[in-house]
This record gives sequence, C-alpha cells and structure tokens, in this order.
Amino acid sequence: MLSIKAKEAIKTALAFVLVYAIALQSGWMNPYWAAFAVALISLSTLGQSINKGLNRMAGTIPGCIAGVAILSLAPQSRYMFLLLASGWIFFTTYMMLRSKNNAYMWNVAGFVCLIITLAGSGSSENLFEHAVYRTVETAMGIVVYTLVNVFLWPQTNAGAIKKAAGALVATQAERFRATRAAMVDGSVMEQPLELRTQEVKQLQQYTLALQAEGSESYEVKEFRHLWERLYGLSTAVMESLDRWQTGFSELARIDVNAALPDLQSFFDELEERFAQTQRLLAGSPPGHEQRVMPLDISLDIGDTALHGLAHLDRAALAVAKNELEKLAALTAEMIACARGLAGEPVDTRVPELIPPAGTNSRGWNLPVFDLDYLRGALFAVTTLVVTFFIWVFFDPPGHAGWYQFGATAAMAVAGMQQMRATMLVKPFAVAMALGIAVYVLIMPQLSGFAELGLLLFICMFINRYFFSGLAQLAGSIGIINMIAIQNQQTYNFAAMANSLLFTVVALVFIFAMSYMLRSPRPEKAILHLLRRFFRSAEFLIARVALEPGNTPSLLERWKTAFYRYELVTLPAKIAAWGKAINHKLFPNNSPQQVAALVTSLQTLVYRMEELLEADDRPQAESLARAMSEDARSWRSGIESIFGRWSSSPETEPVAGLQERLSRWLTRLEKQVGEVLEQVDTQTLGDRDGENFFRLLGGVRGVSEAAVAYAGVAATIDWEELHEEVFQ
Amino acid sequence: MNVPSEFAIGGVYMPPMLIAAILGMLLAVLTGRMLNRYRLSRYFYYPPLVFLALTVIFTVTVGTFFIRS
Repeated sequence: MLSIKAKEAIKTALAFVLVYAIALQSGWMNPYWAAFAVALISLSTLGQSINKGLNRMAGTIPGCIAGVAILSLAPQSRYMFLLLASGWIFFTTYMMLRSKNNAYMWNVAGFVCLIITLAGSGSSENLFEHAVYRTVETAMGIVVYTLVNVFLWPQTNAGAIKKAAGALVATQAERFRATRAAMVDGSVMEQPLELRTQEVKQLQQYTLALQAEGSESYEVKEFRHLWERLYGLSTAVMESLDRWQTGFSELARIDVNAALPDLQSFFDELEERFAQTQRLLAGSPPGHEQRVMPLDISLDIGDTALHGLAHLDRAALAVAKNELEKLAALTAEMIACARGLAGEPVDTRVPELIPPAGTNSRGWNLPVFDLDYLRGALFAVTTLVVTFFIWVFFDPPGHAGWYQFGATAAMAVAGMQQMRATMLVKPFAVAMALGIAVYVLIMPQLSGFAELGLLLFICMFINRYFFSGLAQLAGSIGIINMIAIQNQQTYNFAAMANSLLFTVVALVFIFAMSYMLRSPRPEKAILHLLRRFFRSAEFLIARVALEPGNTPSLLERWKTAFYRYELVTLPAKIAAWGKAINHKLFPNNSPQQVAALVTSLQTLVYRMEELLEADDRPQAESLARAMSEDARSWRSGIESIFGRWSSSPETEPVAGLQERLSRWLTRLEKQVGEVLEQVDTQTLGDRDGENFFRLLGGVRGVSEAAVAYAGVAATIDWEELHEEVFQ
Repeated sequence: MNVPSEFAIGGVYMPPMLIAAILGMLLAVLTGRMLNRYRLSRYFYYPPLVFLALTVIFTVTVGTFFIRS
C-alpha cells in the first residue's frame, strides 16, 4: 500500500513527464516552461494546487503584457527599457510584500515580465510568440497537473474549512474560559501563551483551508464572503481577548463581582455563544434545551460598588467593561455568520464595531505605505539595475541571466528577509551539480521519449519524495534547468558548467546586495525596529489631544495614520527577526526573553490603541479643561520617555519608572477627585462620564504598559545585542 | 610546497584562482569563528566588511604562495 507521500510524488512526476510529452510532440518552444508550472504548483492537496496554479496564471498574463509593453515602448533605448522594467519590478515587489493572499501572483507577474523582455527581444513577432507560448504552456502545465490530481488518488480539502473553523472557535472558547476564571476567581491562567500560539496557528490554517477548499468546492466558494467574515471576526476576538487579558493587572484591587453585578450571567451568555457557534459550524441542530439566538446582554457598573472605588480603578473598570462589551458584539456577529453558513438568512447590516471581513480597522483610513516593503521593493529594483549593468558592460558567465535571475532572486530575498541569502547557495549548488551529472553522464545515452520520460519521472519522483521546502524547490529548478530538454537536443557542458558557476556567484552577489535592505543580522534589525517603534509611539503620544477643540490638518491625520500603522505592525516584525537570532552567539538573550519583549510591546500597542480610541471620543468640555494641565504634564513625561527609548531602548531603569508612576497615580487620583467635586456633575451625561473614565483608563494603561516594558527591557543584555560578531 | 597549479575533475580543468578563492573563503570563515569564540570580534566596527577583506587577503596569500598559477 503506497503512502500519501509516495502517491503525491508519483502524481507530480507523471504530470511532469506528460507536459514534456505534449510540448515536445506539439513542437512548442521551451517545454520547460510547462514543467516549471507543474513543479512549482504541486502542493499536498488538490485545492491548494489549483489555488496556486490560478495565482500563477493570474500573474503570468499581466507579466506577459507588461513585457510586451516595455519592449514596445523601448525597443532601442536601454535606459528607457531599464526604467520601465524597474518600475514594474518595484510595483510587483511592493504588492507581493503587501498582499497576504496573492503574494505568489505578484511574484510571478514580476519575473515573467523579465523573462519575456529577454526571450522575445529579437523581433516583435518573436516577442509576441514568446508571450503567447509562455501563457499557453503555463496553462497547459496547470491543466495537466489538475487532471492528474483529479483522476489519480485525489486528495481533497472537503470539510477542511469547517474543521479548521471549529477548531479555532474551540480554542477561543477555551481561552475565554481560562481568562474568565483568572478574572473572577483570581486563579492563575494555565498555558496562556500556548493557547495564544495555538490560536495564531489555527488562524493561519483557517486561511490555507479557505484558499484550498474555496478553489475546489463550489459550496465553499458560494459562501466565501461569510467564511472570510468569520475569519475577520475570529481575528478581532483574538485581539479582544488579548486586550482583556493584558488589563488584568489594573483590576487587581477591584472586586469585579461586586463592581459588575451582572458579570457571571454575562460570561455565561458569552460561553453559550461560543458553544452555539461551534454547534452551528459542526452542523449539529440545536437541542431541545438550546437556544438559537443570542440574548441581549450588557454590563452595568454597580452604583454601590462605585462609591468605594478609587477613580483610577473606576477608569480601569470602564476600560475592561468596554472590552467585554466589544467581545459580546463580536460573538453575536459570529453566531449570525455561523447561521448564515448553515444556510439561514443573515442580516447583512454591519455594525461599526465589527471589522470588515479579511481586514482590520485600526483607524488608518488614509492610505499609508509600509517602510519595510518599500525598502524591499527598492532593493529588488537596485539589484535589477546593477545586474543589468553587469550584463551589459562586463558580460560575465551567465550573460543575460544576471538581469533575469538577479531580480527574480532579489524579489525572493525581499520576501524572506529573515533568511540569509547564503542559505540558498548550498541547496542550489548541490541540485545543479547533480543536474549536470545527469546531463553529462545519462542523457547522451538515451534515445526516444520513453527513455527520456523514465529519467524525468525518476528524477522528479526522488525530488518530491525525499525532499521538502527549499531543497525540493532547488531540486526542481536544478532538474529543469540542468536537464535542458529541446526537440533538437544538443549538449554543451561548458554552458552548463558556466550556468552552475553563475548561479552560485549570483546568489552570493545578491547576499552582498541584501545589506542594502538593512543589516541581515537579526539582532541589529531588532534594535533598529525597536527604535522605530518608540519613535512612532512618541509621535502618537504627542498628538493625543486630551482636550476638545483640536482639529488636525489632512497632513497631520495622514502622519497619525502612518505612525499608527507602524506601531501596530512592528511587534510582529520584531517577533519574526527574534526567531532568526542565533542564540549560540548571544547566550545571554534567550528566545523566551525576546518573546517576553515582544509581548510587552504588543501590550503597549493595545494600551495605546485604547488611549487613541478614547481620545477620538467626545469629552465633556468641563472635565477636559479641568484636567488639561495634568494631561499635558503626563503627555510630556511619557513623550520624553518614548523619545529616550527611540534612541536607546534600554535607558529607563524600571525601579525609577515604577516609583514615578506610583507617585503620579496617587496625585492623579487626588486631582480627579477634586475635579469631579468642582464640576457640576448634573450637566454631565452618562456618556460623558464613561468617555472620561475610558480616557483616564487609557492614560493609566499606557503608563503601566510602559513600566512593564521597562521591566522586561531590564532583563535583556543590550550590550550583547550591540556587540559585533561574525555571522 | 609542491601544490599543483592545475586542478582537474574528470578531465575538466578548474582555474587556480577559483581554488584559491574557495580556500580563502574557508580560511576567512574559520578566522571569523575563532574571533567570535574569543570575543575579539567586538573590536571590529563592521564584521561583514572585515570578512570580505579577510577573504581577499587569504585568497591572495594562498594564490601567491601555495597555488602558483
């Protein structure tokens, strides 16, 4: 009985041989184009392969059109040609980095343009012919591979999306229960980080399952908008749970059961909603005792409990209440979504609170760019320009390959910045050396397609069965490039040896060029990103108005949107670089310490978001004016701390900060009490009071998160991270 | 030291500079590891450039004194 791995290897090898047979029989140019399509789209299930194949096709067509357009506009001018090609590579690289779901499509659009501009430069007829053959052979590769997969041992994704969604909601329900117990009973949360990590992985699996099953199942495709909406809601629930958890320290002194009398029934309803969502996704009809509709619930702060609470504790309670109400709205929407997926009619009105499907709404409605993606795109363009000039003025071994392969590899490196480009050298060198051995020793002995087909089958089977990831990719490219098959087969060892040498040298060259992106040393990248993070935080804090009557200009709003985007995206980038650190060279900074640093930054982001959100809400003028002096003093203090951290992330000793925070909180508590006595509270509405306390809670939250960061930063050996080492 | 200046694998001749460059890079990698081991690398301003310089120095040394073309 064959294993799944063996079956997949056989299917890929069979499709590989078939496309060569068809292309050679039909006399099509460059049969290896179809072979590339088969080798690069073959994934573990049919749906995933179809999705990747469609992305490849969707990228090939605009790539061909761009190539034809570039050569048409600049047939005789090398500099105009280079400018247009650079513009296209810049655009496709930026879109590749920016797009989460269609990165491969943009990648293909980029390098196919380079292939067409190179292959078809002899005449306009030649150019058009190349573009058409590239498209047709890619399509043929995709179709042949799909047919082989449909008819021979098909591996489908049927049921994958429901299973992934069910598992995700189950994990979120478990996380909710653990957080509830920690808040109500004060019990220690078991495995909070493991649950969170599992949740993130399940969100990724959900996306993959949606792409895969959505490509092969009409049923899933019909409800795709609901599945995507459920993904958006699950992501928002994850973030809401994160913010709720990170606010626990501020509720430590409060008896939450007394302060929020309806808390238990509120939590019971939320648990029931998670259970209902799971039942609906599993397709189980509701039992006799089970409800189908969520109850309307709300949390009110008990008046009696309020009298005993300090103002800052009341502020913390307001923030927690707000977060729990958001969670309630999200879970109600999840049930509605699950009911829609079960075939019931759905109310399509979308409350403002809920983010649109597949996106997040963090307030940056103005278009902003990502600095790291821009830098990646610039790197790809610079590599293209330099390698073009190397080809034109020096023409070393590889010739036009410098222009084409250089930019293609640069796009790949820009998309995987944490992976050192030199890691590509070994697998490619070995794969191409083995390919040359086959080319020199075996191929000249073959005659007829039967023997050639057998060789191709064996090579691709071995590659697919024994290798995975980068090694498999290198193996596929080695087989296709080195066993260069044409209808009129010729042998040129010197060309192949030059090709091997060129590939190795080009990859080393691109590694050297990658220093343009930034230093590829992970610890230096982390230091740089940390400084950027605190520069963004400093800017945003300086813009927090804390008082009414402040109307920013369009430029100010754009800058705020840009820095807000930076603040939100940088912790994930720091986490990615943290995983790339070689801890043997930096033994005093363990992976756990780096993870703790990222967590503290993420907490700071959540607190800043709460503050910015509260600042956007209307505040009662009387309260705002009364607190304006304290607010300004707080703002300038925290701004100066962030400013110092933006040049040295480790400069504030935590003991000093903790003491300052404690003194400031005491003074603030007294000041708030005096303000509330002075202000005519009869003129204040419920909303005014709530907004005021949310703002106060946001201010306190940012302060406490900053102190928490200082505590974590104190455990990091910054001198070791700054130290220069050979890597 | 009698090191052949012509290297051949299966009748295919390799340029001496290629062999010298490969050996030079290996020596530079070893030197870098030793410098890391004894924490001497912290005295360099920018190790990647130092590595490049070491590679060139070792390549020229090997090519001049050991593999004479």
